[in-house]
This record gives sequence, structure tokens and C-alpha cells, in this order.
Amino acid sequence: MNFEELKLVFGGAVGAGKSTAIHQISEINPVVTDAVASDADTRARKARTTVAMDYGEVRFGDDQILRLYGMPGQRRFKYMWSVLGADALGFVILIDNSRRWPVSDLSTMLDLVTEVHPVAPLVIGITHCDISSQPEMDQYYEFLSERNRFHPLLAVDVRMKDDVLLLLDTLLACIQNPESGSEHANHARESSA
Amino acid sequence: MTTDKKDVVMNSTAFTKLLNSIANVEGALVVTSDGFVVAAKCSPNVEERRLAAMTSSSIALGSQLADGLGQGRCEHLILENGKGLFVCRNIDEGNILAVFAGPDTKIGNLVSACRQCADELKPLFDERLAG
Repeated sequence: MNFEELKLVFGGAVGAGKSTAIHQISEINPVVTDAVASDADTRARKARTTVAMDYGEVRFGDDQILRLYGMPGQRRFKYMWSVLGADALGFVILIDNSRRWPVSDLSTMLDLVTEVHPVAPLVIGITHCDISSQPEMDQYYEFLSERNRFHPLLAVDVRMKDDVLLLLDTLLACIQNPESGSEHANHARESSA
Repeated sequence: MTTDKKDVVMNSTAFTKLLNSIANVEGALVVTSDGFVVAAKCSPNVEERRLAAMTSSSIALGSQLADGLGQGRCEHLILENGKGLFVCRNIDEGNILAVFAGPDTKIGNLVSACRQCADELKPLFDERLAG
């Protein structure tokens, strides 16, 4: 595997924490393409919103770089998934637990990823658990199991750099060893039981 | 709110002039910087909502590119394509004007017309906000 070409994509609904996560760990000044939010739903969550992509980089060693792309969260920017997602090596899906239907958000995100990259390694981060503790992790596991999907699932605070790095480490493990994703998922599930 | 702005655009001479002053103009639209249609006059085969979102993405990337090059503010974005031209530019912080035309259109004319229209729409939007 050539780490120099390692392109990772962050997806999730508006306000899930994609831009924040990339900002936390990027070692370059991130590329930000945000604009003033003009719709009430988005404005209720934040003043500005990503309209094209976020971009950041994390270095591994001397010449290895992880390229981090953040997708816009709104459905009208869905075309960015085919622009940026098709040749990604892995995906970080962030789900805002305080939104109205977070399990449904996960379903939407899985569909988007599958559409551009049917066998993509991916890791799921559940955010905003400090605001809403429901649904619980077991409900996500149950949903994934029903879909016959087994991905690492972590409750994270993307304002914390270590939490974002944990997501990346987990994703890299999945990329290097595709079986580790389901093993990690099973392990995490046993730990939460 | 957006409906009011739509009226401002559709009733303006600036927008009408943009559509009519240059041959081969196929459509024009004003979109919010976060990708919603404010007002549009396009042929039925154009997906206006999709074009609005793509316009906002494109100009946001253009602005970042200009910034990365140290070339200041992105004034306008030009796409010269096999079968036509697309030009967009910021009207103000929250709105973008886009226009597209057929293959025989002169780039300079389209850019100039787009600039003039944006410059004329800006005070109308300012007035609306002030009012």
C-alpha cells in the first residue's frame, strides 16, 4: 500500500462534526469552503456550512501523508461524493446523536458510501453523545446487524484530537486488514455489552 | 425571504439585460452562497437546484484557489467547455450570479455582462436588506 496516496473521506449530516474533526488533526491550514447558511434548519445549528469540501493533511513519517476530505452534509451536494469519494481508500462516517433520526442518518450515509465505493473500509463515529444519550450504541449495532454490515462504531468527541486520531487509527487498521473491521466491531460490541 | 429576493432579481432590468443583451445566452440564475436557487431563467432541461449547488461549490473552491495563490479575492469563475461557456461571480457575501451561453459566445462579452449585472443587483439586494 502506498500511504502517499492514502485519501480518506469524512461524511455525515450537517453539524455532525466533519469540519471540526479535520481541523483538530490537520497539520496544514485546512482548506475551508464554507458559506453563510441561508436555510433555517442549518442556521439553527451553525452560521456557516461547507459547500464543496474541507481538506486537511496528516503526516505519517517523513513522506507519508493522509489526505483528509470532508464532504458537505446537505443532500443537494451529493455530487461531491462521486467527485471525491470514488477513489477514497476509506471513510469516516460521523453521526450526530442529537439529531432527530440519527439511525436513519447512518442508513443514508451507508447508502451514499456504498453507491460510490461498494466495499469501502469505513469507521463510524457517534458524536454529540453529551447532548443526547439516545439512541444507545446497541441500537446502532442492531441496525448494522440487520443490514449485515459490520463496521467499527465509536462514541467520540471530535473536539478532542485524540478521539479523531482514534477514528483514523481504527480506519487505517481496517484498510490494512479488511477483516479487522468486523473483528473490531465485534470486540467493541462485546465491550459495550 | 428568498421569494422576495427572487422578485428583486426577476423584476430587475439588470437580469433581463443579461439574458437578452448577448446572443446565445441559454440561462442565468442567482443562487445563495450555500447553494439554493434564488431566481432562475433556464431552459427546462437544466436542473436548476443541482446547478445552484454546483455553482456555490465551484466558486467556494475558486475562492480558496485564489487565496492559495495569493491572488486576492476570486472575482469570477469561467468554464470554457466544448459546447459553451459558464461564468459565475459573487454578487455579495451571500449571493452568486451565474450565466451560461452557447459555443459561439465571446468570453469577454459574457464576463463583462455578468459583472455588470452583479454590480447592478448588489445595491438592489442592499436596499432590500435596508428596507
